[in-house]
Amino acid sequence: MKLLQPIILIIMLNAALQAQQRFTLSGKIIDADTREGIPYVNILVEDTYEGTASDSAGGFILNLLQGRHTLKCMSMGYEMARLTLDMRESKTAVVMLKPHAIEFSEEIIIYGQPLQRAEETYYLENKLNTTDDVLEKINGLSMIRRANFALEPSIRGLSAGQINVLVDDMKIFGACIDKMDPVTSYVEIDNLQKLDLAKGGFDMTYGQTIGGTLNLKTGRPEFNKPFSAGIESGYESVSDLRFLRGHSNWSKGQWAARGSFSVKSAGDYYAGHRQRWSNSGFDKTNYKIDVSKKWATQTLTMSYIGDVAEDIGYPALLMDTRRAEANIAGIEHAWNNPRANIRSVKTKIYYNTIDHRMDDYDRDVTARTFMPNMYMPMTGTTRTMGVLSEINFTGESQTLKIIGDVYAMKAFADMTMESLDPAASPMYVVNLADVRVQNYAIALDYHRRLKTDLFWRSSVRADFSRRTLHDRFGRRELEGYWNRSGLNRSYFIASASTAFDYQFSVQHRLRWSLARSIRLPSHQENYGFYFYNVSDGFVYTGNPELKPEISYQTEVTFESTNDRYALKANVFYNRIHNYIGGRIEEAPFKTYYNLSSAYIVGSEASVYWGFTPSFGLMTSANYKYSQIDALDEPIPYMPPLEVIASARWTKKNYWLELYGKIAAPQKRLAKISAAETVTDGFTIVNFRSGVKVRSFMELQCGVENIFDTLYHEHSSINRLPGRGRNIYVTLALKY
Amino acid sequence: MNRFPIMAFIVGLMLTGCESNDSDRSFSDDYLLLGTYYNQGVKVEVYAEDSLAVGYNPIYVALYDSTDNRPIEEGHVLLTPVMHMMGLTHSAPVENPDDVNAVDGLFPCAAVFQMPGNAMEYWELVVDFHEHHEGRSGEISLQVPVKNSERCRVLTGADTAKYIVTWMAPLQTEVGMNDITFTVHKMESMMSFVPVTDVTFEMTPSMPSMGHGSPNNMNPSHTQKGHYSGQLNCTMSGDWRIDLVIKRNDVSLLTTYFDIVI
Ligand SMILES: [Cu+2]
Ligand SMILES: [Cu+2]
Repeated sequence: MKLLQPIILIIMLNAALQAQQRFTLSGKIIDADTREGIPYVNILVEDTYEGTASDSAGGFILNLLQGRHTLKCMSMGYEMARLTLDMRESKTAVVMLKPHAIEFSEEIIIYGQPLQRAEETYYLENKLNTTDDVLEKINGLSMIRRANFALEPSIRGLSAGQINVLVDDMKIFGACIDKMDPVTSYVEIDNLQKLDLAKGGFDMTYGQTIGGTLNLKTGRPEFNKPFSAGIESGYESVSDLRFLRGHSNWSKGQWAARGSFSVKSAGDYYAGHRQRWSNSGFDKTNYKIDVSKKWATQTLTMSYIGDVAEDIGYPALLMDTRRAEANIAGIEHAWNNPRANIRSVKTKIYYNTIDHRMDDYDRDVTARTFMPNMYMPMTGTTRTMGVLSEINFTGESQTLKIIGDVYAMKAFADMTMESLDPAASPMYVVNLADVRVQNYAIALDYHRRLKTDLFWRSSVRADFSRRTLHDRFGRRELEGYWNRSGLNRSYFIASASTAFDYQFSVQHRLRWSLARSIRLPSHQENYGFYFYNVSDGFVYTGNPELKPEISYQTEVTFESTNDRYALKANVFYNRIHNYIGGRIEEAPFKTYYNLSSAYIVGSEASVYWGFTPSFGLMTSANYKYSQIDALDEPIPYMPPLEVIASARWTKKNYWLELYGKIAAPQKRLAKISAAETVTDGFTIVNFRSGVKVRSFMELQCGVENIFDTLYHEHSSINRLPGRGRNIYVTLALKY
Repeated sequence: MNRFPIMAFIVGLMLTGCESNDSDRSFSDDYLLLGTYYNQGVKVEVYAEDSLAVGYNPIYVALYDSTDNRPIEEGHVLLTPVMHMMGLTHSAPVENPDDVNAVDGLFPCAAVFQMPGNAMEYWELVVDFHEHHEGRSGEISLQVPVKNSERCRVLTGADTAKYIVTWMAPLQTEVGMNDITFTVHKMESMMSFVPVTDVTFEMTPSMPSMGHGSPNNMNPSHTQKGHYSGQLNCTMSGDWRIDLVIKRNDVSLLTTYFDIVI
């Protein structure tokens, strides 16, 4: 959405002094695309009753008192724009309004330039400690907890292969067959610039999906900062966490570079009521380097993320990560306005490697019921490379985006079983038989303004995917399991979506979206062999004959933006055919099959009130009801009704936030697919604050889970409790 | 008409090709030569696939005319294994050629050794032959070492008769699907063993240390000469136990197991 946000150009000229303490602002409001004046734009001066409207040519005049003012410009068919001016003299201003466009994804800005809409900047800035903290607070996202580390995101109750999680548009596949390594763990909070979150399967530009796309966008070098640097250190009491992180930006002429690092070390964490979870610490190092070169209309950026985590305790699982390493590299070329009708051409080449090693050497394996008396070290690796090309065409009130998306990945995983009985031979199993996936896709995304108040967007995407097995040992296991050879598989799938957006007044908008979206089985669902699933205690094997999941979904969204409040509410319905799930063969074995259909129906709402410029209140709530028809039970890990409320005071040198989350009990249980039990409701209250001690120094501190509540989210694996009372303090220095 | 010389040339080539192939044939690339013996103007070569071990052992006999070393490919060959232990002797299940014609120059036989040889007890192979070129017949014998293995079971059946059950193939089990063959013989006397062709198998593989089995196994069923073939699926490497229940008329006759390491 950032690309399409209002671009505001202010041209200031000296003008003669007017009457005492009042100055004249003469301005013009123009269309960002056509550069023509926009008539009848409402112009309001925030926190006053003043305001005017533009004339037939887009011009306006306002007499303003001396001081800072924020103007809000609103017009049918355009994104609202906010403009802050310091009136110490008479001025001229040109305001460009960006024509409204239907966005399937909402943008959550973490760092950097705030958006024009206050409610979307609510979680902005470096006010949270981890990427997971940010994700947890987003309405419609829930986190699957397996440890005090790297929670796995789930969008509207769907996760893993049902959603896409990308870093800077790049596809990355986790290597751990126990899902210990969600892609979100590779982006540290100080590299996370924004999140593009598309809920549902309407946005298929970066992949066909039935659940949604979470695209983590990282910080890029800035050309206008010759040198800047920041360093931050902090402590969290709940897990004796210490961290040090820093980032720096250099630029000279056409070159700019950015580097950052983060080092963290945590001990055992405490759940509520001082319940200590032994063997739950971790050590993690992350570094990121970006180098950019820019020409008049082109930019070339090379990026690299390195991430190493060691000795991560997973109390909810049978084993712990010994070492996890990720290397993520990409080169991106962006070309803006190469031709009159082409707004941009973007090409990206990327490669990433994930290597994961886990074991149960720190566990008492004699006490375990599943496969007792043996150690089971496991390794997993993935390699992914791809090319992504994106061309944006623009015409009068229409845009067309064409995306070519090609990638190849390979995945291998194995497990050795070392019995404590010295007479027993070591056992070995290949869990992923060097599965290789080659995927070729093309997507078209078309947007058109049908009338001043009616917009239309439509997307189509087609994917061809070829999957083959290259490890002989692992292939023989699967051939034995399926009692046949020839397990290679090709898929061709196509999805389409369409949306209409009607702006029935300057402040109110209604959108209706519809999609038939398809998702391919993941490589694990096709070819996994003997994956132990701790949530139902079964050992899963993939099925090369799986059909893709097909989803028919629709959503209605209502948005209302007023001077002081913004409201967003939606209802959605997602019907999934060929729902993929495990079917019992013979305990403890399950095989993935297309079970039947499933559905999710739900609603999300959020309200932001800006009572004064320094005091804001944000409330959001979401509820989902789901059902897998064949199992007569809900989709596993479906969050219950949740309400979040947050109040924030922002003053010049300090800010305070009180945050509460209330979750209703979840009594609808997925007993077959995840052996779920009733999750009690809970309330968590957090307090956060920040003080600017000096211009270069900020101190942040707070108390999370103030009442030390012992609770677990419904999406916590093995009911692993959330963190207990946590007192944290962070000191940041900036230059 | 003028094609005839060419045809004759080709036929001639084929004939000479065959003959030269036969005269300097050698089986020692593919097989282990146990010994060469002469009797009645016949040269007898005895081969095995590998060094002999307890269980099922294919044994091949090649006959030659000892004067000109011409291969003899038609005749009768009769193999008799004899175990000498403390002045007593007994035999073992044996398979002899079905046909008077050699297969690729060899007369295929097999012996199922139910025990290993050692310093005090040894196996002797007696080969009786009757070649059809000149009608010579005779007998040679050789003493062979037989090492121990876990591939053979001597069992007493529910009918009190003695049976010999052998894991015939594969010699090296792999992870995944394996074609598996057992042999079953009944001991009629110390010197007489007959193939059992009327039993059914129930085969259950499992990993004792894991407590699980594997899917898609196919119970061995009778093919010929007391051989029973089926499919064995081993889902991972490690120790496997293959439990067998051998039934006659749905009544359990024999139960045994084989332990293998993959
Ligand atoms: Cu793992
Ligand atoms: Cu004869």
